[in-house]
Amino acid sequence: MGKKKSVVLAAIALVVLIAAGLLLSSRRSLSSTSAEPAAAAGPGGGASSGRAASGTGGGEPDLRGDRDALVAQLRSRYGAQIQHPYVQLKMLERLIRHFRARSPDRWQEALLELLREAFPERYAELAANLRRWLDYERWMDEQRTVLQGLGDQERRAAIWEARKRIFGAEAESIWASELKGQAAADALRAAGAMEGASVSERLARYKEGLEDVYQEDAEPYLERHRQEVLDRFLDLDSVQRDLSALAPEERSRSLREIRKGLGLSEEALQRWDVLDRERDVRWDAGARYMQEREALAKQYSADALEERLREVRARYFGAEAETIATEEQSGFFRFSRPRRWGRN
Amino acid sequence: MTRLDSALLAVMAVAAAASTSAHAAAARTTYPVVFAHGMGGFDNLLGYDYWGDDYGTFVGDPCDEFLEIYCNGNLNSGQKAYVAQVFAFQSSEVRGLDLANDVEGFMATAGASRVNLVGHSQGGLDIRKAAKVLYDRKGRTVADVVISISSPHRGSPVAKYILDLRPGVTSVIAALATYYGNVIYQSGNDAYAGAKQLVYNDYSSGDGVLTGMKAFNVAYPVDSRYASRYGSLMTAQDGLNVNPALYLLQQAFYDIDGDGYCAGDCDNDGAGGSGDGVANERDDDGLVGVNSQQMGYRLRYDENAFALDYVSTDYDRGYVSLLNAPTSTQMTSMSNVISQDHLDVVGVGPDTFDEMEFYAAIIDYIAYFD
Repeated sequence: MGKKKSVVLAAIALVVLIAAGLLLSSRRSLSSTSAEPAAAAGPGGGASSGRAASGTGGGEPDLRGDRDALVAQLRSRYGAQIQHPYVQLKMLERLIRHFRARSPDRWQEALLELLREAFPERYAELAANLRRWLDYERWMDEQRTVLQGLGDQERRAAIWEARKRIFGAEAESIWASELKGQAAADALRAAGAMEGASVSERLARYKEGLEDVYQEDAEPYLERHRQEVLDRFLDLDSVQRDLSALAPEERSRSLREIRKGLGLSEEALQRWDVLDRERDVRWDAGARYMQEREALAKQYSADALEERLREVRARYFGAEAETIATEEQSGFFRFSRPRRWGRN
Repeated sequence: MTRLDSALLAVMAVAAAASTSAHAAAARTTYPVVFAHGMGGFDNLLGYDYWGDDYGTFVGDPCDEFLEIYCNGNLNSGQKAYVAQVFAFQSSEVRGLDLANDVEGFMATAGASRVNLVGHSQGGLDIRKAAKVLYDRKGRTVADVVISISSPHRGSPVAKYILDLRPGVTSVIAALATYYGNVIYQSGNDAYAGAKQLVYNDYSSGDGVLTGMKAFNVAYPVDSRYASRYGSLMTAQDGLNVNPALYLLQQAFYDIDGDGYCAGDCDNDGAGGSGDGVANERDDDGLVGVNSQQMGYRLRYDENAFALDYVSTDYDRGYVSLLNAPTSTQMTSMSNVISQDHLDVVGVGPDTFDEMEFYAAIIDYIAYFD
């Protein structure tokens, strides 16, 4: 190699080093900046801002260096958890995508070579899981139409049969999140279907079900999904029926107990107290508006009716009057729907 | 070893180290991120978790324990997210109002003063209505960054095709049930209202009510009072690569020609804009044409095997502030249209699309602006 060529290579190396440094520093500065005043308002907002799309998205190394960089990245990102089949499949999906795009003709060989280099001690099981994933992909493609023709239960059963056949005992570990989600939904259904139970008994059953499903992770799960769990419980027809049967003060107390039972803080409960009252006011106004509307509709029609309704809506709903008018134009009358306690 | 090899290896070692640390995590948003599902949701779309990866793990769950596995390792451990639930089949008048109520409840529980909204498909329409309702109720902007993914802001020809009972469709409800499952039969759902919502013009002009995306866009516009920033991620794929469920729809029902420009629905196919005369090409994602999908800024999604995937703003395509009057470029340009079908970007697998990285990149983008 001539001296001139060495200088050129050194220059290239320097450029790539600087680019890597810039990539890091730009990403960090983007991530740590809380706002971009010039662009926040929309049109004309800073065409040269840091979040503008550029020619290349991530500054990937060249083809020759791809493998070394990938090996390092894979070990760093997945190495600590690579024994877990779910993590293996997540990594494999990403690699399949990467190699299918880069070398369509020999992507499997290239991927396997990389796996052997990155995780030699796990190579056999990673290669086996790659084959299984491809078998599963093929099966789903072939069966998609058949699956669509099945009911929910039958479809789920067929898919699980295939997963167990292809992935064996590891299937339940790979799809553990889906299984837990399904079990949580079953627990909710069971709580809703309890014969003659009170709201608090249903809640206790639901919480027991969640604890069975998530065990030591039940509290972290609730911490992350408290609102979703509350929503789903209040969506139960049996719970709504029981709440509807209560006097207003009892209902408020019951809603508070449900929320407290699901771990809401005192501050959150107070915010809900305020929101419940706001909603009560909205629904009271809605009921009076609908009565007044009905009376006006007997006297007026078309534009004359709409003119009067505009005034009535403004009186009852203030800023939301325009939206309610639009809804009515589309045939939707929000106050004709049932009140769902704690939900609307 | 030659000098060339030595130099490149040294460079790559640095690049790998750099990319490893750059992959750390998406920035945390100031305000929680609310996920709004599309038609056919909620947490179960054809039997798969809607906002999950292909294995049912929710994309918005950060890993907050040492070596936790079933979570999104690309998120900041303090990231907050919430999954809203509205009717699977309804108009966006109904769904948007219910979404606003959901958000209101979430804010009470979480103590949040604002939220960011991410909506897939019809969820991208619902978030516009929710943003306005919340503004009206609070008297201030509640929705900060609002992002739609694969959303039919100017309608979908598939909706009109089904409503018209064109060849292959004998019943609106049966047709939608074929593709979305039995959830359509559950109480409170209205398949006709859902389908009519997704037609650009008022579908039944003589029925005394006004439906469709044209009217919806006027009522729930892109408006800086309702949200601080609007952006849209767009998808399209050619027929052979599209999800077999959608491919079947293309073949049996209708293949959208969705990359032409005109004002309004000039070809009366049910969506704003026209075609370019070639339907069998990468101009739609199986359900929505590219000329229907841009709202506010078009966003660009870059995948990166060496770092966190990245979402940025495509300023060159301009800003769609008037949803019923995008420019020709905004309706026809394929620039930064993600090469995926309508369902790849949610938890319908198996596929190699990395939902965890995708939504982490969106959250990272939101964090920059919220």
